[in-house]
Amino acid sequence: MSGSRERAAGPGSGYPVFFASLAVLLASWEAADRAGWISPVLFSSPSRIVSSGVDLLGSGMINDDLATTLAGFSAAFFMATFFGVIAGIAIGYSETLYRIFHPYIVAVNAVPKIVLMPLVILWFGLGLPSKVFLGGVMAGFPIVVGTHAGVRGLDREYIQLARAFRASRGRILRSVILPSIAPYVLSGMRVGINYAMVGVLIVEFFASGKGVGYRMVLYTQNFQIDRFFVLLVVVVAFTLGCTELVQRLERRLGSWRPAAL
Amino acid sequence: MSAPASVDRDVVLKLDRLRKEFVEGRDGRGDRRLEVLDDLSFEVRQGEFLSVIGPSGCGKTTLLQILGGLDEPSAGSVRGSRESMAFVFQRPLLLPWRNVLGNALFSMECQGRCAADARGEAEEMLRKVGLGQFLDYLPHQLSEGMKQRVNLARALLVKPRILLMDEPFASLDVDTRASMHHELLKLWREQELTVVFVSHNLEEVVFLSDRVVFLSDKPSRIRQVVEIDLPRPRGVGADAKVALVRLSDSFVEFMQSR
Repeated sequence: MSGSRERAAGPGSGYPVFFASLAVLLASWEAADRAGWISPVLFSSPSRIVSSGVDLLGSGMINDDLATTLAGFSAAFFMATFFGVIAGIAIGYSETLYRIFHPYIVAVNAVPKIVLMPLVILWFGLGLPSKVFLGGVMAGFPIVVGTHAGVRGLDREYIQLARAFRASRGRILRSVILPSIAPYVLSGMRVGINYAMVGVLIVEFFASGKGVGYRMVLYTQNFQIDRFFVLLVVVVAFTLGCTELVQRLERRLGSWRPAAL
Repeated sequence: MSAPASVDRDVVLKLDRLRKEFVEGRDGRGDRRLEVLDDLSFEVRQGEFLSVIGPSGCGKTTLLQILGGLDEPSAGSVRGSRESMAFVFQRPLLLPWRNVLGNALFSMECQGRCAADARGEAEEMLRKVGLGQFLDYLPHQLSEGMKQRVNLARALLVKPRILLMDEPFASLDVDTRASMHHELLKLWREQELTVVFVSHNLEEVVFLSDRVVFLSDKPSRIRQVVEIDLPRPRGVGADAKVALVRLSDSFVEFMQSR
C-alpha cells in the first residue's frame, strides 16, 4: 500500500505530511466533541465511531445488509464493465456506430442519473434489478469512454501487421486489441467503481428494506449518527480498496505506456 | 523489357497488367481518382533477390501490399501462393507491451501456433540475428537496428518462401544498415528465400539484388528491369567496390533521366 501511495503522491515524502494533518484533524474533532461543541444527536466523534463500529460489525447484525449491498455493487459493476467494454469497442471500430450512438451517449451522460430514480423503481421494482440498472448505467459511461479512447489510440498498423501474418479476428482481438486497450479500460473501471457504489446506495436509500444504504437512512432517522458514520467509513474503505486494486492492475498492464511514449 | 518467358515452375509470383487507383473522398462522391500503378507486368523467380525502386511516393508500398494480399488491385492479377509470404515493414511495429521474445513469437501466434511449442524456434532465430542476449528486453529499450532485427526474425519465423520487405532499413544509420545487409543476405542464402525488396536507396539495391525493377513516378509504370550480374559476395576487394560504385552511379543517372 505505502509503495503505491508514494508513487501517487509524487516523488517521496508527501505522506508523512498527510498523516500528520489527518492526526491533527481527528484530534481536534475529538477535542471539540469532548468540549461539548458538537451535538451528539446530529454528529459523531472519532472515538464513538470506533466503539460503535466494533459493536456493529462485531455483532454481525448488519452482515446481511453488507452482503446485499456487495451483491448489488458487484452485479452493477460487472454489467457496466461487460456492456461498457463491448460498446466502447463497437463505437471505437465502426465510424457509423460512433456517429449514431455518440450523441446519445453524451446526452444521456449529461442527465444527472439520480433523477431517473422514480422511473427505475417503476420499471424494476424494489430490489436487485433496480440497483444493477442504476449502478450499471452510472458506472457504464466512464468505461465506455475509456474503452473508446483506448481503441482510438491504438495504432492501426499493428492490426495490419497481424493481418499480414494472416491472424484471425479472434487472434487480433486477443493478441493486439485487448492488451493495448487494457490500461484504458481499467482507468474507466477505476472511475466506474465510485459511480456503481453511488447508484446502488441511492436505490437503497429510497427503495429497499435491506442493504447499507437502507441502514444509513434508518440510523439517521433514529438519530444513531455513530452507526451512520460507521457505515460511511465502511463504504469509503471498500471503494478505496477496489480503486487501489484496479489502479495496481492498471499500472502493471500499462507499465509499457509511459516509457514507450 | 521484362525477363523472357522463363520456365514456369521457377516463377513464384506473376503480375499481369496490374493496375491500382485510389478513389478519394470517403463519402462515395469519388470524383478525384489517384492512379498509382499502371499496367505492371513482371515475374518474381524462385530464390532471387528482386528489388523495386522508384521515386518516393510512386506506389512501391502499394505494390508490395497487393503482392502480399493486404490490398486488392483495381485491375489485372497476381498469381502465386500467398501462404508462403511474410512482410517486413519499414516501421518495426513491435508490440510495446511484449518483450523481444514475445514479439518474435507474435507472427507464429497469428498463424495459430501454440507459443510454448514455438518458443525454442523463436529463441534460435533471435540468436541468429544477434539478439540472444536480449530476449526479455522491451521494445523501448532497443535501438532502431535491434528493433529491425526483431522485425526480421518475426517475419522469418513463419518460414516464408517469399519475404516482402518495404524499405526495412530506411531509418537506420549507415553502419547498422550495412550490418543488416550482410545479415539479410546470409539469411537469404541459408533459408533459400525469395526476396522482394522495396527501396529508394540505389547503393543498397545494387549491393543486394539479382534484379532491379525501376518504376516511374505516379502512375507507376515499369521503366526498365535490370539484371545485376556482379559476383557475390559483393564489394569485397577494390575492383569489386569500384564496380559497385560504377553501377550505382549509372543507376543514379538513369533515375534522373526522364
